[in-house]
Amino acid sequence: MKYGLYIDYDWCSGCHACELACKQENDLKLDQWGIRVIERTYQAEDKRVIEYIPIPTEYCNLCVNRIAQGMKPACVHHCMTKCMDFGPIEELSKLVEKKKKSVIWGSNK
Amino acid sequence: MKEIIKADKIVKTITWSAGPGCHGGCGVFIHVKDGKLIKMEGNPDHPYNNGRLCPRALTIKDFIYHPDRLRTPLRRAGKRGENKWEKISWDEAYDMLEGKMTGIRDQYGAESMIFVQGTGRNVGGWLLLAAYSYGSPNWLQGGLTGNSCFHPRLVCMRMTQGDYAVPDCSQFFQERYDHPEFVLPECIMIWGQNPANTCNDGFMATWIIDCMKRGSKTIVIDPIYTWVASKADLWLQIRPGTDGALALGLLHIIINEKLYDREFVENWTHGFDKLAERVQEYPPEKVSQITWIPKEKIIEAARLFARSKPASIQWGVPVDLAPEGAQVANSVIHLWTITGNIDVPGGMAIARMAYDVPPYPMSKEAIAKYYGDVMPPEQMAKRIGTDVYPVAREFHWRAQADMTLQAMLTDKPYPIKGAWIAGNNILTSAANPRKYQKALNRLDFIAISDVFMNPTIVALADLVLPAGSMAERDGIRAWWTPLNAMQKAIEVPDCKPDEEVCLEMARRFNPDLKWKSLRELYDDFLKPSGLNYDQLKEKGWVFPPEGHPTQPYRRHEKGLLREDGKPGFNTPTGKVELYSTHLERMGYDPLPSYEEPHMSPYSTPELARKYPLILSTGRRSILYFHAEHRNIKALRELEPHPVLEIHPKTAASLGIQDEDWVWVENQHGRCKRKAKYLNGIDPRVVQTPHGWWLPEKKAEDLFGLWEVNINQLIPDGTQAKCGFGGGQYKSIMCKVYKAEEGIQGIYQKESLL
Ligand code: SF4
Ligand code: SF4
Ligand code: SF4
Repeated sequence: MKYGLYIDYDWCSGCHACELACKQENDLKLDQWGIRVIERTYQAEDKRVIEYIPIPTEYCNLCVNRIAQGMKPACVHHCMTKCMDFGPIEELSKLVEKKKKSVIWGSNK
Repeated sequence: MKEIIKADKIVKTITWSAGPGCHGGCGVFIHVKDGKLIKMEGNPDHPYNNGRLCPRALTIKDFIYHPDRLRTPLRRAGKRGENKWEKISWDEAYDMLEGKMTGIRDQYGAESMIFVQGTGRNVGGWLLLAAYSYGSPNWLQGGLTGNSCFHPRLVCMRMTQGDYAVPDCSQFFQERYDHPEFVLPECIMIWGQNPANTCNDGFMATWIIDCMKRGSKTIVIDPIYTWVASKADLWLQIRPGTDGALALGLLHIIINEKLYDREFVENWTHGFDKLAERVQEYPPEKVSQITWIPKEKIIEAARLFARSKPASIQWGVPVDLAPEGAQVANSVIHLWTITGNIDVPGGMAIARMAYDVPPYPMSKEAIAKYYGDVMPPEQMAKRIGTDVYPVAREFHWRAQADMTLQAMLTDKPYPIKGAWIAGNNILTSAANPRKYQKALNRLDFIAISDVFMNPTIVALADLVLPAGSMAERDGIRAWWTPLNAMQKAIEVPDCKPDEEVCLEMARRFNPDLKWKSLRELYDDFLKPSGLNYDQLKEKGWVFPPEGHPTQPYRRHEKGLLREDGKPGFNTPTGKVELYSTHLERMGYDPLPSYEEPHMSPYSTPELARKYPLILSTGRRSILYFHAEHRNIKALRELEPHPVLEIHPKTAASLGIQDEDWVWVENQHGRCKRKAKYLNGIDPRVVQTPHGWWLPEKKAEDLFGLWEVNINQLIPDGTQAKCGFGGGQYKSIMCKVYKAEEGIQGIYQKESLL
């Protein structure tokens, strides 16, 4: 079974908690990130949209050690708006089917 | 990737104070190995945060083991400002503190010593214990002009509705949103607060986002188009400082369109007709002109709010910072009152300290009950500001900040000779900081307790006490609910938690003090809960049982709010007082009205020609808490420079490019900022965060303080008529122009690495 990270970026508030939770978990140094949050803003029909989207980097190991111990990845665990999840890609794909502005970051883990 | 290090022990505690710096109480697990904190994780079972944590909590290891952390008490060796220190032992520090303070008390009286905390951290209650044991009534949040953060709202709620109230986001129950009695708010009005960036006053702001995700509608009142504003059903882009007019305008519409809750108004309020008459002065057209919000939006907001059941209002500091902050607070209280949203599920829940346990007392009654008998009334009467402000005398418990500053400078009503400052970098945080520097420099003795060296310590301290972080403290916390135990997870050699220092000094000054140890004190404070400290520690946290006066809902109907056990609110009329009998008796206007900001395009048109932009300071960052954390590189990396948010059009008209260094200036002072284009700001307004100093710069230069301190543009002494409210941090005016050069020695991306 392959696992991935699910992001409901409709609700990501750009709080940086995932970035720093990952740093703490993996002892990453300055300018090293397991996940980065990008900001984008654009004009929709009725209003201006502000969106934040967390994207894992090559440092992301999907928190294999935590998963092995039955825990959630550090970023998912600490996400301030609970807009992240972790699980088998197959299950997560059911979530994205239902949710606009959601995405799965896959991995070969 | 490293292997997961197995911790030797995992300690269950909560966050409060040094570390994240906040007022919140997130449940956490501290992982300890070989006596050192190796990480801190959110506790998924804790009802406050349910596992979540903010960036400051997640970088606490960097904070605790920071190379610059104060690690030993210091006695000043050179002149103030020279940054020359002699390391001393804790025994020497205690003796010096006792000796100097005793000298002041003997020569001038205990009131000549002031006890200064900063924001609402746990040191507050313990500093109060030290102050009262010593015999001084002068405990305050120094530098906070008009006491205008939280306190105007606090005293107004006490006067008007008898109790504090907070939006009900199910925080009173372990099961949170699943609790059967909880009802999701249909609409939440978010008034001058950014829930994506802050946790304020015992309220985790992301609860608002939880409710939004579950379907609550929102009305956001903010001069800035924030992320939350972008998600809201309605965004009212208000002119900073005009919150009072908006509140009265909303009342006007709700009353005139008969959208209020008639039954509640009839049974549980006092003075509705008089309020109805007063708000006629604020029709939507006029309010629109004052606030710059389109009339239609004001009407839409009033209707949405009043028609939603239940509805709540999450307010922030701009309410306090309006010129007559207390009046604005009252108008907002009236909004949730006449719509029948008090003490109902999903509305404004009346919030009391769980079991009335008061580690951080927020009423005179709580202080009298637990600390009060240590000081005679004639000494208590010397509390600064109480002779001028009856509201302070009757409903507050601290010294008034602006009058304390005056007392330091003028020796009136009596000289101030010493200060014990704990967790307040006052030269960074105070309005008119240079005046504070001058005033504090007149004192004979200043002791400062903090975690890092900072500009205030360098400029003013005679004695420095290295404080412990939240991970180094045993303690108790009830800021609303639940009642929590804080537990020491680690020791950092030669740093001491303020609790220990304050109790030691309290015992030295009052040998009759009934508590001999912190443990005894905690056990005593915890008595109403039926638990002792060890039992609470074991449990971690507890909620009072259903039906307890400190648990919701509908306590006014059940007679749980008043001493006499009668139904009603804890006010003279037993009703929520739309017409305040307290204010009337004290000689103030019993009804709210609007005051224009002290400096604005309308109140000072001449000055406005010279300083054409409205300056709103103090907006929060999720990465920094007030004046802290600029030295935590993992956070600084994400927000390296102090920015000025400015509309691109305004910037273009001033020849300013994105990321240019600029001066922000008015008649009071100037500082540097890095321009940051922001589309979602009114072109007539600029915004900037506060609290900046540059730990990377030289201590002798006060860490570059005067180049970056925005509070130099904010005057003191603008407090509201009743002493509460009126700090001008949100609505002053300025001009902005390009700086010839940036800031020498400020962190650049490379120098951070
Ligand atoms: S899953 Fe783990 S490694 Fe990957 S981004 Fe999240 S915290 Fe970092
Ligand atoms: S922690 Fe969650 S809300 Fe915060 S930036 Fe990351 S994904 Fe977004
Ligand atoms: S700021 Fe909020 S999330 Fe961070 S520790 Fe404090 S209460 Fe918790």
